[in-house]
Amino acid sequence: MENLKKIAFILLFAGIASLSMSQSQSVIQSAYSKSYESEQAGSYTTAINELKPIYKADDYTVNIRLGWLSYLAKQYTTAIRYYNIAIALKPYAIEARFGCVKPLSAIESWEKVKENYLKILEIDPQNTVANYWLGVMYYNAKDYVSGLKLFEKVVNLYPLDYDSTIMLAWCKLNLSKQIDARILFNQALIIRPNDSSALTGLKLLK
Amino acid sequence: MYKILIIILLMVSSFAKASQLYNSFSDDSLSVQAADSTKETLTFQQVDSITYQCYLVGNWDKLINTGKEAISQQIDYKRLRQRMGYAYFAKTDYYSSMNHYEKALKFDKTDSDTRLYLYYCGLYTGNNAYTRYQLGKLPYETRKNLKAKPFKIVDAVDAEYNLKTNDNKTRYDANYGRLGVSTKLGYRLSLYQSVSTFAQLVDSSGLKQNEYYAGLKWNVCPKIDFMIAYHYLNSTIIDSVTYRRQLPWRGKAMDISKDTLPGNLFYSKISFIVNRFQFGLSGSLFNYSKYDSIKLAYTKALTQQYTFDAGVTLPGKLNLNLKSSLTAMFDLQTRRLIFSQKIGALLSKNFWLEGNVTFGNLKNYTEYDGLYVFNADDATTFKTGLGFFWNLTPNICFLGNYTYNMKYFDKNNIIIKYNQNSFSTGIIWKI
Repeated sequence: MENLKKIAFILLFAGIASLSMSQSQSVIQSAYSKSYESEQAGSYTTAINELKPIYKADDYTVNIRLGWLSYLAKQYTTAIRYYNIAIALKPYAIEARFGCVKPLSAIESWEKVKENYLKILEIDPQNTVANYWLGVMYYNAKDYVSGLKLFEKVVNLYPLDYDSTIMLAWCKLNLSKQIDARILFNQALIIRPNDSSALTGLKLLK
Repeated sequence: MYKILIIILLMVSSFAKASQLYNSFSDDSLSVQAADSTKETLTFQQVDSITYQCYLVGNWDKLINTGKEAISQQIDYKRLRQRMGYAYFAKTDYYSSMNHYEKALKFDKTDSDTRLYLYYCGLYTGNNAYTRYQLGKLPYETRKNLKAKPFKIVDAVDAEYNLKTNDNKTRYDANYGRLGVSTKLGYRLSLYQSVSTFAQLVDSSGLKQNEYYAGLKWNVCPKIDFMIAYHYLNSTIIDSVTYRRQLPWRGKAMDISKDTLPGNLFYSKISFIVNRFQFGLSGSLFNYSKYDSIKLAYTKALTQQYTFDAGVTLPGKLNLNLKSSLTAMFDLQTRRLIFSQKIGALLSKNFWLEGNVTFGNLKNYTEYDGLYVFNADDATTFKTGLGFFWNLTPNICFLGNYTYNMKYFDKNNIIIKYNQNSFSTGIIWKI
């Protein structure tokens, strides 16, 4: 009889816990679902507010989602803070860093953007997106040598990628490597015929 | 028993859930709801829109206040700092402007607008080293527009004349003249050279001293300067009577009426700037010849000087600057402390007035980065003065100074005190 009471108690407790958990899961899933609907409708503040009741500072998903929604709502500094929490929770997830780059770029915090790309490349050295955009940053800062290394990497991985080919060509041109630049501009014209940037580059080489 | 346990478990579970929900609201530091309902909560868009509008219409005070409030609510970004920097710049508060532009630079080091305003802030706060550093970081086109050159053999020339009069019958008026040339060796490296001559009749002797000075300054970074300098002093004492003297560099005793006594000063300094505050640490070694009245001969001697100085420029249009320095001097037998205080203010756009006072035995004391050496036999024990710099044109600055000195000398073990009045005038021509 005593054992039966124990079993009944355990079953009752497990039932309550399971019910509570499934209710909690359904609350979370419903909040996300409503948040997606509001995002689709362009109501970003509503989408943020849907997630507020289930917000947990140690939940990667909710932080990254609020980071994205805050970015869409043009709350850039708030978005950066959510993304930074997500980065701290999963330091090797490059997704959060790519997310963070968007609001950082919006407020022109280029040093932090660079920091994030460098960290992404530390985790994933072959990442073409990070290699390309960090290359663009170096190119804009007239650091053609650093830019060239990154574009070269992307072109070696994706020889038919127009964006990195044209950027590599411009780097070569700015570093007075005219023969290489000509080959690359011509290659860019094969990938994208009559491309104005490649034609301008070739005109400068004449 | 089990009932109680179940109730406790349910209560704990409910409490945990309630606590979790509460935390999701109250612990969320990113919540847009402000804890203090009396304070207006700002959003990024509001801040950006308000500060941009204020920037366009020139409402600097509102821009600054909104910016401060935004920063306190952790809304901080490059454009906000640039706008705040510009607002302070427009209000001629260049130190605050510099502070905000430096914060903007942390967001984007490649922003040439930020660099340009940092250059102007350096220029208007009279910080030449900082100005040159920022100039060097500007794009080529901007430097070209500003007519900036990394190398300029003669960047500025300065000349100075000084007359010293006193109330002692054995000391005649002294004359001092100096000519200086400043050279730019790069955006972060500059050289200053100077030649000077001093002449005075003392009792039956004539004293003439020719000097050469070279100081090299390097900007390690915008806020740290490092300087080294060398100062050569060639003193000649012409006596009306011929004495038999032992000169340390001639080996043997000889009859002479003219003593040539060389002196070498080596100086180094590191300076730090923290916005309105300036700090400096310097040290110098002065090697010279000293007359030993017992041996009746000249012997070599060394004076070491170590100085710590700290200054601050107070907010306001006067740019009131206070600078204190404490110096420890080490001679062969003596150790002494010297305290100096300066105060300066920009009385009008082109006129800077400066007062100073120095306490302590200034024998072999050096000031202005080793340019001036108080190596006269008659030591100064107190000095105070008033000087001005008047910018007649953007390239020509006229300067003047009056200094009162309390001096003494030892005549057959009797200390004789006297007063000296010193008048200086000079010109700086920036080429």
